[in-house]
Amino acid sequence: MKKRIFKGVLCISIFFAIVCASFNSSWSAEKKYPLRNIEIIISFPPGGPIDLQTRILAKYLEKELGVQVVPINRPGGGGSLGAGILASSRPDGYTLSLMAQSSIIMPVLLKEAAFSIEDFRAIGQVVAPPPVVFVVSPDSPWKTFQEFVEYAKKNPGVKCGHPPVTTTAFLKMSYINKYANLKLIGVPFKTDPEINVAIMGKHIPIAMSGVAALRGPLEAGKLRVLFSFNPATEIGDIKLDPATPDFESFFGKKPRFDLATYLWAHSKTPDEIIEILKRTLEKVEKNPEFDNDLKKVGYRARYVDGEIVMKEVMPDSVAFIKEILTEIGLMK
Amino acid sequence: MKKYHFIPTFFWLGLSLFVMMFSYRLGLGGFHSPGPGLTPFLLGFLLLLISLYVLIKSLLEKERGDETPREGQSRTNYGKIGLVLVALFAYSFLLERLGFLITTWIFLFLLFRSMGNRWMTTWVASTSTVLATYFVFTFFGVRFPPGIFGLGG
Amino acid sequence: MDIFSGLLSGFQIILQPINFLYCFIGVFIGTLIGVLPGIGPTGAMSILLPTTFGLSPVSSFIMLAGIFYGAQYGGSTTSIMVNIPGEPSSIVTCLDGYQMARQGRAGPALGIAAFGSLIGGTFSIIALMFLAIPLAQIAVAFGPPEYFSLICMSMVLSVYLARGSFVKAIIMIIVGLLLSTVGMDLVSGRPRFTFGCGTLIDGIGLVPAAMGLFGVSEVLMNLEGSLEQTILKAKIKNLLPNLQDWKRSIGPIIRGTLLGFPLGVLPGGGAIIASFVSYSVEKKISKNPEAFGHGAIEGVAGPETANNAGAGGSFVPLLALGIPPNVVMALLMGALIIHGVAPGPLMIKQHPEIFWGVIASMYVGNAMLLLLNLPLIGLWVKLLKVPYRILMPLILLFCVIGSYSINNNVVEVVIMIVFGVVGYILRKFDFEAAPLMLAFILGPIWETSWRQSLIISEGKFSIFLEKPISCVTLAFAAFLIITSGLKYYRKTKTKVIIE
Repeated sequence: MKKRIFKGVLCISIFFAIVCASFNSSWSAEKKYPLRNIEIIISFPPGGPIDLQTRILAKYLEKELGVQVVPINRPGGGGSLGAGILASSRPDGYTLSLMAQSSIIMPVLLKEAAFSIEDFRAIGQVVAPPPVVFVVSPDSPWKTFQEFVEYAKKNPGVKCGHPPVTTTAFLKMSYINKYANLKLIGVPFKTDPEINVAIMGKHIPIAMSGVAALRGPLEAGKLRVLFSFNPATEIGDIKLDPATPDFESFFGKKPRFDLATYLWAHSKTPDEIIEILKRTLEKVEKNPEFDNDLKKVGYRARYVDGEIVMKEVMPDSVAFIKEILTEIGLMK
Repeated sequence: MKKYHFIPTFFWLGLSLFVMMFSYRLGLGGFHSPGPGLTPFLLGFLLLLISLYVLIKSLLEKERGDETPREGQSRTNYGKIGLVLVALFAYSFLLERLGFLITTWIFLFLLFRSMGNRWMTTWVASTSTVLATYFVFTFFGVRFPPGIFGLGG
Repeated sequence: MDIFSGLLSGFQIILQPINFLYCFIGVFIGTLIGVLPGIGPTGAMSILLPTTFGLSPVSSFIMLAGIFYGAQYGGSTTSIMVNIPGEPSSIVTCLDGYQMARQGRAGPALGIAAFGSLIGGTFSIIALMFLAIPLAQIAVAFGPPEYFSLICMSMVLSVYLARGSFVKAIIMIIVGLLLSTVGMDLVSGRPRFTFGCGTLIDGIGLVPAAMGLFGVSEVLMNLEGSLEQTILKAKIKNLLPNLQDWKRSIGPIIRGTLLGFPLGVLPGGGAIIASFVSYSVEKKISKNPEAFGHGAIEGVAGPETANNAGAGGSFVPLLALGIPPNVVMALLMGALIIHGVAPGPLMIKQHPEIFWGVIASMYVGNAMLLLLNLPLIGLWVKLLKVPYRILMPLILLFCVIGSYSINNNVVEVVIMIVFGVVGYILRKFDFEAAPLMLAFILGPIWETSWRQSLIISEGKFSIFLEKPISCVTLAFAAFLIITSGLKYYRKTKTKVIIE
């Protein structure tokens, strides 16, 4: 009889011990996230704009979180490969990615994605919309954007170079093309440096290109910027002529949408972890050194809470990108 | 002039037709706006022409009685080759399920043994190689899949 | 700042202990990376990039650059020893280097590769110093039509890579081009021939394909017969190239440097095209072309020199224009930008210490590499003495890990195995892998240039003849085709007469 009672008490104590331990461990998980290295996926090749932004962000996240934040390049499919990896990763907060919303939306709309939009949750906006500009060679006949617009309207079919279809620069170019009725013919290039070479060698008259790869040639006067989608003040350390028109100053109103870079996690990541990440991100964004580092590569920091992103920015972007894709015939 | 075998020729013929069919479906676009299927289609067409040329040539040669018998073949050890291929595919399949350390060890063990090494050599070689590669590659930042007991991740 | 004072200041920089140390670390890691399959210089550089944050821009650049050209040295080692290209630019070295190893001449092969790399590397630095700016202008003159013609010519030349029949080589080129279309199309964004496989969306990986086609297929071939034969039985003769080797190699080395450097300057070109072109040229002008593919040392000396010269050349667009001609340079550019330096024409004026520091470091680095690689030859040759029954599983594991480690993706390993089988079957039917590989590598640029040209010209093919550079290149290619066609025709005619 005594033995039985003893056994019973033993079992119950073990049961309680296990329950307490699991409680403790889940509390500790909340308190102690992150416990190990975090991976941050870069969906583009090294040296490119997203790569640079991510590495800078990783540096600062590391300081705040106390663990290594390891950037990993997984280029492919114009960004969809990396997005897919995030979507199929474990939702434990140890895999993150910095992407523009187009990297998620476009593959889904084109029905070529192994993921859906609901697989992602934005922690917050990290970088102000990456600036894209129209560049020409220094001896191009067009001295101002106005001249170019007039020429293009009278002579449909001007060849305009652009980065791959999946990039923000291309989407912005399509938007302006449609909005201002420029009737451009797009010539695709794989990378921004290739575009710069084509302009410098006068193989194409004009192109839309990201700003990061531009700095060297621009400062040396080998390239000229006619127009910048975003105001010149938002373009970090790259010295553009402040008189360069931007969308708002030229067309008189703000562009209907814009594409920016956000930090994403798997949508099923526990809320507590998302909260920690949000607070950390906000801290990093407020750090003036972070902004300075971004400036060096031509960007500026800008923080918007993830909730706003999910509730307002995403649906807007989806509708908008759908419109553009249908317009250029990639979607029926 | 080298002798042309029929098997590869028919294979190239089949491949060219397959490619042409699929690329047509992708969309050829026009020359002023080449579509995704245009290049593969043209390449497939070129392949078709060449394989037809080879086919016709070989048929003509055969009629002229130009068959030279193949050089005496020693019995090819297809068994070994098959075993290695099976081992390779099995490794790929099991790597992420059983983890690096275990899968690699089994892989090496099987291969070393099948090459006729003695038991002792096989044991030593397998174990030392697994450990060595694990440490060397991990040092370079390569991450291996963790095993079922969380080993070797 | 004229060149000599610039160079002097550069040497002062490199001789500072910290820069010297980082140069050594860079080339050492680079050599290892070159030898190890799978991880390439890009991978290593991006892993090590964060460690450079605390360093000065000069030190970072010196180290990262060292990794890059160091890898060109190491890549030839595995090509020669086991027919597995450690780097894409060492694929051609497999053709004759491996055959030399089978004849017991691995030592001379490795030696001439090392010396050729040194000469090519050093020469390209000198050229870099003097010719950077004018050459950059030439690089810019190459647009889509010029690229298309250049690659067409390279492919015509690459038919010479084949040991056997022309027709088979042409088939291999077409197949290589077709394989390169697998993946997402640049122009339309639609996936081609991926059949739903996510890994293929960026195309078939170069590393798994090369390792399968060359390495695994070689293993399968070796497994056919009895285990007694193969590489190691041939008595290992001397360790270093002898006088006769040098006599034969000096021409290829000179030509390799002259060819390699300009080709490396062209964006998209780089060390790989340089090595292929050098091989084809050597074979074409050789007095006994039949020796190629069976252990002709010219086939190692030329390409290995060319690829290092090309690597040096690829610095030109970056340093002179701020335009990275390939992925590795893009990474270097990113590293510089993060450190607040904008590569470009003004960089030489604003940051002369970086330009001259790096150039001086390349001299030092190349010397270090020679000192590192030469003694290793003895080690590698000893490794070859290991019995094949032990070596074979190691080789296979090597390839498997290499393929897996690129993206932590098992599918890459499967791709490699498939290519291994394909390579094996192709060899049984006397088809060769080298032209296929070249076409596969060049395919994407070739197709993109072609389509871009047509978009720009709105469908008119005349654009290829209207542009001067393009026209000349195509004419040269046509000339090559006609002359070899005539030779071929004459040979067949004589054969018939004899019969």
